[in-house]
Amino acid sequence: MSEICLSIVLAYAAWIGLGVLVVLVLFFIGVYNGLVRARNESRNAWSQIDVQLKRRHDLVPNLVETVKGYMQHEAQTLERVIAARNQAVQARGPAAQGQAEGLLGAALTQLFALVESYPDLKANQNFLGLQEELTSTENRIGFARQAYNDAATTYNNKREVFPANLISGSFEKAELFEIEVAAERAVPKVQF
Amino acid sequence: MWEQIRSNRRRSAFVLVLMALLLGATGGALGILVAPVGGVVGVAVALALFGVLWLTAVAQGDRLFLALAGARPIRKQDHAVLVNVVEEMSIAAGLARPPAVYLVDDPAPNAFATGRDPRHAAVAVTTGLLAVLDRDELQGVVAHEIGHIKNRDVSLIVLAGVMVGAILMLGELSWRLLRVGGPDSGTALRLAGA
Repeated sequence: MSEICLSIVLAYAAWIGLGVLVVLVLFFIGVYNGLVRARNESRNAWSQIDVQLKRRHDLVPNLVETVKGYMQHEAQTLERVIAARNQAVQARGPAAQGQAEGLLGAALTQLFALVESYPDLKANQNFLGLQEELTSTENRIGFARQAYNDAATTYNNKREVFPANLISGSFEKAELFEIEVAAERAVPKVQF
Repeated sequence: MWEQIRSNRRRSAFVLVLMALLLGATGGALGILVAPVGGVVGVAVALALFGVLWLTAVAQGDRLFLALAGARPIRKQDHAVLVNVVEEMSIAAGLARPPAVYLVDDPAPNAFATGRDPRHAAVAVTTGLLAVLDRDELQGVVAHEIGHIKNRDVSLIVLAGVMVGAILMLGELSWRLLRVGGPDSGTALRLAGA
């Protein structure tokens, strides 16, 4: 009598153990796939920044070409923009890239500040079109960086929370984008 | 903020389930009114009506809506700033691709988003909106519309609208059936049987 009871209990225990195992395996698969998905999304978001930076690199020569005829006295500024652009194109690795892009941004800001004293240039349709494209490109770069940081934070959260952190050892932490040039972080000084 | 979004999703789901139950109950009540044993048929009719309306709305709704608003699709050369702003906001929202951009010739400043999912979405703004807003302000409006697309608000509204439409149609139908078929005529019974 008690042997029958025992065998029934053992059968139940076996089934429950099997069920727990299946649930654990399914859970593990879900967590693992979620990590892979989040990592790919964060990598994709990073490459989107490069797409927008390329856009800026392509625009700068056009801009300088259009502006050159009007701004003969600003050759030095234009040369600085071109040099910064070429350096940015050649920069490799996030740190060097971030610094070069920061310098290019600063050079462009200086150029557009000088444009204010050339009314003819400000009325040129070609220039206005390029200015809009450059404004949009600056925005795109900023928003692409923001989207990357969002995706990277989502991924980092996924790999660090318990219990995912038990199996996420092979998933490297995503670095957030941060401003490389200290001058870029400082509030610009305006003088009249 | 994410907590808020999650709780809003739960509430939306709750309201939709409630509305689906109301739709089924309306159908059932109508069936019973027509014939004592027609409850199940009534529920089936209600669900079928909803299904047809919903499939039509999903397949054609956004094009119909854009056509009704008199919106025409534009490209980069038509309005560079608008197209640029839409693309910028799509990047910020992390959309796989930017929605199509439409312009409505209307002096009243307005904007809307449509499309059943982010891959089939469109943003439309009026010429009046472009006239009164500068670039940064336009960016704010477009960001709002892109938010609707990312949250799939349009498909929620379409689902809710179709349910309400189906309930209204059932109400109309039952009213006609009961009026035509008086207590002594039996027309309603024959109609329900046909």
